[in-house]
Amino acid sequence: MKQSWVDQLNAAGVPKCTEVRKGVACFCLESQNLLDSVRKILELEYYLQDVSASDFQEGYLLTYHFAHFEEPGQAVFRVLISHEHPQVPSISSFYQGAIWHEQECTDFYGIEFTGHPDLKPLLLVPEENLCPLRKDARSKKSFLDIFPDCKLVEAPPPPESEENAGGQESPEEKASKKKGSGKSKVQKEDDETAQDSGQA
Amino acid sequence: MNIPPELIHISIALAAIAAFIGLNGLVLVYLERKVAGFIQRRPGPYEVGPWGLLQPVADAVKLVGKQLVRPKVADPWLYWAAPLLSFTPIFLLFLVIPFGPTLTGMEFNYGLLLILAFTGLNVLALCLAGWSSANKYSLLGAARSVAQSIAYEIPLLLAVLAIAFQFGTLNLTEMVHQQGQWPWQWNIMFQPLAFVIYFLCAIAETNRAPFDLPEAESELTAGFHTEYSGMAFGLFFLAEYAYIIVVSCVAVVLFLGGWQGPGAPGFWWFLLKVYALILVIIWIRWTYPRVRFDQLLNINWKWLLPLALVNLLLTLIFVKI
Amino acid sequence: MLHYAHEQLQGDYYTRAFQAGAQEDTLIINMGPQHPSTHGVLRIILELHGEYILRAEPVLGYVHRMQEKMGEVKTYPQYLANMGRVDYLHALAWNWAYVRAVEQLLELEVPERAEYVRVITCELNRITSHLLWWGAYLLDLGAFTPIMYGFADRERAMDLLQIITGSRLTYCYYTFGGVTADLTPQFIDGTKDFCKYMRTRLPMYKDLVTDNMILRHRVDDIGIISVDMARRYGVTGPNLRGSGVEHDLRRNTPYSIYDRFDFEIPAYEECDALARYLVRMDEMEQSISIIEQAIQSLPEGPVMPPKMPKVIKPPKGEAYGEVEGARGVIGIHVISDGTATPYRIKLRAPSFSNLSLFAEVSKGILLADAVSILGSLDLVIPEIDR
Repeated sequence: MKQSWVDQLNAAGVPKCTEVRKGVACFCLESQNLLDSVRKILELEYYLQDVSASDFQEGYLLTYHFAHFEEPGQAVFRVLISHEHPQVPSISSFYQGAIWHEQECTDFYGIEFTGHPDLKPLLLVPEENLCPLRKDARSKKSFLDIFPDCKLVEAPPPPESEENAGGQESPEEKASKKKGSGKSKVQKEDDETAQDSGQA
Repeated sequence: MNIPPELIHISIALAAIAAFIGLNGLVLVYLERKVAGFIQRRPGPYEVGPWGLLQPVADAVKLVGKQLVRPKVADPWLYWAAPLLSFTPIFLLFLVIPFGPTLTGMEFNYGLLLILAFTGLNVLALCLAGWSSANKYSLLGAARSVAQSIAYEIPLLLAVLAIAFQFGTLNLTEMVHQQGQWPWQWNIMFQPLAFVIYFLCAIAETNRAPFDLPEAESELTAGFHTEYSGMAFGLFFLAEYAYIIVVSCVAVVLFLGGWQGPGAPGFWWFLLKVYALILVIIWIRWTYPRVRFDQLLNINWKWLLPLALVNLLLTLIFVKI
Repeated sequence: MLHYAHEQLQGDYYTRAFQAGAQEDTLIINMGPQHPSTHGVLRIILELHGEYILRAEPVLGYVHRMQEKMGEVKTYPQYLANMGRVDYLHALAWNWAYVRAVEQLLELEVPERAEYVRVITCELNRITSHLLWWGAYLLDLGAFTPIMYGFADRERAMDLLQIITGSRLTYCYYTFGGVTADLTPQFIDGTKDFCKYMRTRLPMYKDLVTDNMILRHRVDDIGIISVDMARRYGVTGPNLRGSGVEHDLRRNTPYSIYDRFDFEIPAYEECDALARYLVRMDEMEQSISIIEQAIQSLPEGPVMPPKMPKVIKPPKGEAYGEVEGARGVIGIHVISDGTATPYRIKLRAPSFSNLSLFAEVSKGILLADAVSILGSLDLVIPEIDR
């Protein structure tokens, strides 16, 4: 009963939930699955709360918060992308409100959102590329250390092949690719976690 | 030396009018701020002089003392000509207004026509000011002011035309003579519709709220006078107040019996009525929100103009009968 | 026009980028960063065709203070003071969102009385915020007087809040586990009086201002925000309720003790600026009702938990503190790495999302309506720029 929105999301084909806290369901996604999941969550009439990024040892973690106007419950999408290739597809074609949020992430971290209509600086001076929220190596913490429940980092984003290519493809291509290549290791892990949390 | 007596008369009248405009400017600034303060539950100016009476003087001194700044790319001639063009015609307007039975600058058979003709010059001044400032907000303000002034001039003229037909003259003194001492003998009793039309158009013509679109500060910062500083702005400001006095004077002459009044007729009645009208205008300004531009034009073309035509027609029928 | 070819008038990076997409014979105009109706340093580049807006692009960042970076270098209690400065009009809601997030991390129980105190002060602050919005919005529409009335009433509430918080605008009153000072009898009596007073003022404002025909014509049927649009842009708060969605965190996911009070969520179906206006006017009444109920059932007890750690060091993890602010859902996402400073703090400012739809909603409208729509969104610029 309490987790009905989680079931709904799971049923809609959004990759399985990895972590359920009080009123919050976290979904760890691969960047190529992101657009697909965002499209589904828009169909479920969720609204976008925010998009934020944070810097970890394993890479940049993008966090998308969604919530519903009528029902309680917050859905969190997490996408981890590597430092070397900070690219992720832009969700601005579904949620136009993300345009500014993504520009802000680019300002602060230098992340590139492929498919974004206009990635110019939003809050910082346009002449310089400051990326003030990037952390130095000393103060960076491990993502796994802080979020032990999220198993995504077991398979860090492959440097060249999937990650980079995934960013530049259109959503349709990605969807077909996903079906063809079958489930990756990450998603299997996710399934197990969902079961774990269900038992708990 | 043989100076014609009319010239001396007019010179004295012009000097008196200049004093009158200056003094009235000061009084109106004070009045407006005090009334605004009263409406907004605050004291208004009260620091400078007793009850803040010297506040307008301080304002004037400040304005005069300020540096005149012209934007680098503004047209130097037109930019400075505009405030003068806005201000100078005012002297002519006051010349024909009958303040009292004998207190008229210049007896003139076409007094009303002169006033209507020369108030039109103000539009040109605002247009020049907006265009020569090389500021986009000023330009928009000027465009608005032209559209608004031209639109509202038509029902205003029609309303005034009805009065002219009724009295059979364009001489303002003659018009006052035709009205009686008591309020029920004033023309407003016979021409209430014309008065309403005239009053609305007068507010619009003088760019006062709620029709202050050419200088709508929440949209166009300050409209046509955005770039003006010091006394150049001061002239626009003074001209605006002077035009308010002019339209109120004309309203008093046409509708409220001029200097006529119960008891002793005289210029005191005239001034009293003028200030009563001005207070109404101030009251409206501090009470209502601003209309939108399309609404402003709709009020004019859809309501005021047809009503003015109907009014004119009815007047003609009555005059013929 | 020849004048505008002048070198110095070419504009900055954003103007040039905007100009690149302009059509022929249009006027590019910068509304802001200094403009009377943007209430702060918001800048909007407009492409005008006559008085009609073809395209609009807000330019942000003029009061950007890098609040999120500050969060990463300050300790948890030090960062509390920043919260009052994000949205200076509803500072207590930001206070609350932050302490909620940290309380979730620390798993702190807040004493009952402290919850009541938070509700009372937060709702009082909401009224002050709406009153200021009301005055400023009418100023945008060219009515000069209401803001004076709004300010005078707001002053009373601010005097009350000053008694217990010690500040007038940028409050830093809530703290982890409770509030820093208990209510005084003077505050309670004053608040009761204020509620009575406001109940006489609000009907007067309705008669004098809300029912004014000019105002109705200015705000009716402009700035239509459909529910779908609100969803795509993440619009929340009164702006959303003006689109007919009864979404209010105080009701949807009742935090604190809001489920104990009887109040309505005003919503209007019209989706226009008038609906948003009416929602806010009604909300003030509901806030008064909540305050009265809370004061009536105010329990005795401490306002801080008995045992508080000397140093705030939340365990590793994350928390998302959500609160219904005067402008919408305020969200603060805190990631903790177990040290005394947050690892990452993300501020979700409702005005940020609310403004982002302006480019879409302003296509083809009049310049005067743009001012009216901007005002109806109730923006606080420091909150957008953070």
